[in-house]
Amino acid sequence: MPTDDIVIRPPQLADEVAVLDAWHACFARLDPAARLEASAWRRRWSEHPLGWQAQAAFAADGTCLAHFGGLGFRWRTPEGGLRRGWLVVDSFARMEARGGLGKRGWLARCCERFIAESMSREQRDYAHGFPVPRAWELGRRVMRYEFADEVRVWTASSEALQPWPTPLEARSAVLDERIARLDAMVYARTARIERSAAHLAWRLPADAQCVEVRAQDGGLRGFAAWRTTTFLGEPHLVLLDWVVDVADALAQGALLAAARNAVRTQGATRVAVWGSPRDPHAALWWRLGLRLRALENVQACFVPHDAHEARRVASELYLSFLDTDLA
Amino acid sequence: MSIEFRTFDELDPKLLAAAYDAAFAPRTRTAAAWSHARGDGAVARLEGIAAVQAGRVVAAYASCSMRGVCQGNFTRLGQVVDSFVTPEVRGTLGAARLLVQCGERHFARHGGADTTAFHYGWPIEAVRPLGEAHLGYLPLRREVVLYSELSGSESCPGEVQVGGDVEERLSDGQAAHDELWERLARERAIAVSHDAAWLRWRVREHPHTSYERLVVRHADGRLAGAVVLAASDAWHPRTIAIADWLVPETESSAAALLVGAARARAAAAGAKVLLALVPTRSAAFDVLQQLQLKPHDSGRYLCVRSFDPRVGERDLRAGLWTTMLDSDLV
Repeated sequence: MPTDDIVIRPPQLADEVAVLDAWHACFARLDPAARLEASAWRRRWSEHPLGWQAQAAFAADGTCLAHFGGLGFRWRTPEGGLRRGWLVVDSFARMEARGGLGKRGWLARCCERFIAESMSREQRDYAHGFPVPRAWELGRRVMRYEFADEVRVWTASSEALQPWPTPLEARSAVLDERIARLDAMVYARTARIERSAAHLAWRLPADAQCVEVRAQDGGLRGFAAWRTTTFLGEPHLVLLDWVVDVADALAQGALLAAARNAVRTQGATRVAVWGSPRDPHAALWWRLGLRLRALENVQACFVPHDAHEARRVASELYLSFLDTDLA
Repeated sequence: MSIEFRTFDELDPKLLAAAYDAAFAPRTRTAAAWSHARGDGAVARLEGIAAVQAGRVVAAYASCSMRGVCQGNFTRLGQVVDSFVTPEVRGTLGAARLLVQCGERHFARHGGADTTAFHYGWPIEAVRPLGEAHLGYLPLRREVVLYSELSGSESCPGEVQVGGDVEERLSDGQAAHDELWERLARERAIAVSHDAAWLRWRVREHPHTSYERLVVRHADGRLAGAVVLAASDAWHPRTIAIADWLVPETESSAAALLVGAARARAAAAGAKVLLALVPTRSAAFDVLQQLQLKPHDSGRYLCVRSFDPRVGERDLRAGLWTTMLDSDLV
C-alpha cells in the first residue's frame, strides 16, 4: 500500500460514511451480523456531552484505514480532585492497514497520535479500555497498553435477587444532578468516574430502566440502572449502575425489590454486576449469592510515560458496567 | 569495580548464602533450607545467575525449575525465587540495572522451550514494572484469594457421601497420588507437576514448614481428592491456607468434604481465617466460592516469562494453574 498519501487526523462529520465503512469491514469479519447505524455512531461520538478525541488514517481517496478514539470522562481522585480520562472504544484497522514483521500498522500510528495530541502528560490524563484478548495483545505490543486486571463480573441466577422488607419503594428515576451528588457521597474518598445528568442521559441505552429511592424530604437515597440483554450467552439483568450507601439497608432493599420485579417482567434468567472484590457493595452481592467470574476481556490502561501511575489509577477506580462499553 | 556474572553452579555456595542473608536480613536461610531449595536436579533444581564484585555476590536472579505439563506435553516451569540486590548496592543508581543484568543472563541461559519454558512468579510492586519493562514479564492476572472467616465450632459436614472419611496422610502411596495427579494434569493446561515425587520434595522433605495433607478416598481406595494445609500470614494473620488443591472437577463431594475438614482443622489450630488461591478462570474458583470462600483482592500480580512460542498469552491467561504451594508464601 502506498503510504505517502495517507494522512492521520481527527475524523470530521463528513468522514462518517468512510469511518463506518471501515468499522463494518473490520467487525463484519469477526461477526457477520455486526451492524452499526450512523445514528448510533453519531450518538456515541459527536453527541457525547463530555467530548471525544480520535485519530483516523485516511487514504487519498478518502478511505478510512484505521481509527483510534476515546470517549471523555472525568474522574474524582480519592483526594477529591477532578481529572480527565478517556474510555477507548472503536479502535480498529482494515486488514490491509495492519502492521506485521516489524512494520508499524496504521492503528498503532493513530494511537500514537492520539496520545500525543489528546493525553496531557502534565495533567496526567488517564485512559482505559476493556479489549477482547486479540485486541489486547495488539494493544500491549504496539500501543503501550498496560495490564490492569482481568474483567470480572458478579453473577448468579436471577433468583438470587431476594429483597428484604422495607417501607421504602423505588420509582422511575429522574436523571438529574442529585445522582451525581449521591454518587460522590457514596464513593467519597475513593476514585470514581463522575456521574452527571447529561452523561447518564447520553450513556444509558434506550432500553435501560432507571429507578430511584427518595427520602421523605425528597432527597435521593438510592439510584440504580439496569437493562435486560444477552450477556455470556444468556438473558441477563445487567446492573449498569448501583448508587446507594452500603449502610442504607432500607434503600438497598427497595432497589432490590425493583430489580426483582424487572427480572420477573423482562424474563432475565441471570443477573450480572461489574465484579471487583474491592467494591464496597461486594459484601451485598456475596450475601445475595452472586459469585465472581473472570471473563476473557482484559482491563487495559495507560497514562503517557507512566505505566506505574496507569496501573495505580486502574486499581483505585470503582467501576460499574456504566463506565465500560461491555453492556 | 568490575562485575562478573556467574551461574549458581559456578559459585561457591557460601558466597551466595552470605549475600542472601544480607539481602533478606533478619531472615536467614539454614544449610538444610539451602539444600532443599537447590532441589534434587530432576524434580526441582535451583538455577540462577549471580553478580560478583570483589569476591562478593551483590545481586542474583534465579528460578526453581520444576517438571510440569503444558497442553498434554512434558515441560519445565520455573518459579522465580531468591532474586535480590544486597544492601551494599541497594539504593545506588546501578542497583536496578544489576538485577536486570542478572535476569537477562538468567533467562538467556536457563530459559527456553527445551530447558525451562515458563518462568512465573508474584513480584512485589517495587520490582514488577522493572520486570515488565526489561525482563519480559507478562502480567496474567491480579490474584483474587478466597477466604472464609472461621468460627470456634467448625465441624466437618456430615451429609457428604464419599466412600471414606477424610484422612490425614502426609505420606501416601505414590501410585495412588500419581493416579490422582494424572487426572488433574488432564484438566490443567499448564502447571507444575504436583505428582508424588514433587509433593515429597515440596511438602514432606521441607526442612522448616509443617504441612498437613488431607485426602478423601472412594470406596475402592482410589483418591477422590487431596488438599495440603499450611499456616500462612502472607495475607492475613492467624491464617491456615489451603496451600494445594488437588481435587478433580468432577469430585464435588470430595471438595465439600475436604473444605469442611480444612475448616475444622484450621479452627482447631486457632486460626481465624481459611484461605485458598486458585486461578480465577478455573472450575475450582467456582467450587470454592460455592463452599463459602469469599473473593478478596490480593493486590499481587501473577507474571510469567514464556519461552514456548506455541503457547500464546491467551493460553497462559486461561490455563496457567497455580496454588499457594507453587509460591514461596507457604
